[in-house]
Amino acid sequence: MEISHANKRPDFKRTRSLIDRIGDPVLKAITFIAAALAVTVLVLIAYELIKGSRLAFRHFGLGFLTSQVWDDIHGQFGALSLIFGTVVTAVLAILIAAPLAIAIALFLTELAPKPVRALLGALVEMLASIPSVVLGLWGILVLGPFVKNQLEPLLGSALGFLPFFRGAHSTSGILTAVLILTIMVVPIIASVTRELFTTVPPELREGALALGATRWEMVRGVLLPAARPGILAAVALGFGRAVGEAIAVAMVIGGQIGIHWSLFAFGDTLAAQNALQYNGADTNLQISSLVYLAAILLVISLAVNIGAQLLIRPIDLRPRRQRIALDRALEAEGVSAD
Amino acid sequence: MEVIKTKIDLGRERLPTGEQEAVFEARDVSVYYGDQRAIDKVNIDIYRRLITAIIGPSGCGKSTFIRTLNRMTDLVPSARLTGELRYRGIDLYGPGVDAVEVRRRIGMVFQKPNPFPKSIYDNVAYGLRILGMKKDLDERVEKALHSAALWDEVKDRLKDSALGLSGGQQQRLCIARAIAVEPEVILLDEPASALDPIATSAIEDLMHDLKRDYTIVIVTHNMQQAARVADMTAFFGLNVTPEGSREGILVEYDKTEKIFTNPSDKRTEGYVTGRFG
Repeated sequence: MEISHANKRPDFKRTRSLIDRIGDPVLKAITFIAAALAVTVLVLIAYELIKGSRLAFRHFGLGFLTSQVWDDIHGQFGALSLIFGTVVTAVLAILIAAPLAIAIALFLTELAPKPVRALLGALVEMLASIPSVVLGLWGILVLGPFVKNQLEPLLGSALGFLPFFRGAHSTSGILTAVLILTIMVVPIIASVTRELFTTVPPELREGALALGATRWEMVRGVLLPAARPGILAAVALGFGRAVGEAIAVAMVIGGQIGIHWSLFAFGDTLAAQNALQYNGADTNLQISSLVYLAAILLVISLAVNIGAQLLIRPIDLRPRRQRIALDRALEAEGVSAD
Repeated sequence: MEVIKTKIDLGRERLPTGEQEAVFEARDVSVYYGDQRAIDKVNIDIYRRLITAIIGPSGCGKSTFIRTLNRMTDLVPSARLTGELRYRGIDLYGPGVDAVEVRRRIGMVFQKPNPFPKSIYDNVAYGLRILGMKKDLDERVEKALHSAALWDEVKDRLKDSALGLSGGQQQRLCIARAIAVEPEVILLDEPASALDPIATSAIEDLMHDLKRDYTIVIVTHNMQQAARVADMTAFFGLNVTPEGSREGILVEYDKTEKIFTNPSDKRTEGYVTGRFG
């Protein structure tokens, strides 16, 4: 067969049409705009929050953070009990959800028979897609009565000597909110963790098992350490969700200002307070105080996010040139830098 | 099938180095993945403190066979074994035999170096810790690294990540990890196929040293390697059944020298002379 250009001396002139060549700059422009947009939105939100909360900030200053009062009649506002409620509900929900979610992920990747994996995995993901209003409604109708009639009496009689399990039983309250948040967070952590486990090379599992490790020893000694950074990220993701959830929490937490150590008591969170009060706010000061709450919420979320990033990947402080050289050397050795 | 059985009987009459003790005795061992038969009726004796090489073309079931020897096949849910596989007289697949216990005594090193994402020290100590061999941990780790000819290269950086080692060092670390728990047998599944020639030669030298204390079975696709290191060589071939499925069979098993210079079976001869692969 004749090769058409075989005898021609190449001149390397551009021959492809403009349409073909335009792709690269267009792709670069589109991706840059998309990335810039994400940053811009974050900056704009932060700006709006600062602007909106200026009035409350002038009025209360940083004392807003340490005051528990929320009195719309006398125009006195403080965030402390809401920060307390937010942190307590989110932390407790994570403490329950994280081990549960990791266990689910382990079952789905390591133990369950193949057909069960697919089915159960899909069901867990579906749990994540339940709208929070629906979950809140279920909390009022089903979970609340269960908490009041079964769980709280049980906890009260077994652990009533602790201040956390005292007081009147009720359908709504911190405990109900914690459980609702747990249900919301479990599928998030479980699905991310499951993905992580599937990325751990099977050779590592075989290596441990071939040494005479039991499945549990393999999981504890090899699988969990290999997936640890990712699990921390998944937990941070879940924590962010728990901190920011407004509707479902507002529906079941009882909506009461004040710091109570008992899980049976009513409480409130930054997000729930905002969702419930914003439309009915009477004064500019109250609106501004609610925006102040939103700003605090944003700071907490960002702090958790940044903290998680630091845990996962400690910032590399070596000079850039040195880093590149080292990575190249490792690559040449056949070792990936990360 | 008949051919193979006669061959094995012959083999048992003239044991390779006098009165060698058979560690593994496989009798009509077949392995199925679901309905698919991967190896068909393998009969073989593997002798103590010798290096036995398993060679053969891709897909002939040599990896499947070596994985039956420490019950790694159990990890594939659909895998099933028929026939009898005895280890020092005990039926490995018999009732009351715990696969975890089997693997504690029969170590394995894999094709791709698979160090754990831990320090060099912790890689070797991992097996010792889970088996409760925590006494003299430092000495045991050092001894294993010495035995794997790695000590001098890593003694100053035991706390560094094992992932920073070169491929050949990683594979020797995996060997150190396997011998640290003092197994009786070491199974090597194509241990040098991912390594360069220098690292490969280091592994082969190491095998010669380890032969003094361990029974070694090595799967390799590299015939020169088998010829260099093994005392006994088993040639696995592919058999295409009338229904068209391919399964592995043991074609010939003999002293390595015999297999490579004067094989009894035409198929072995074709493979080792490179006419068929």
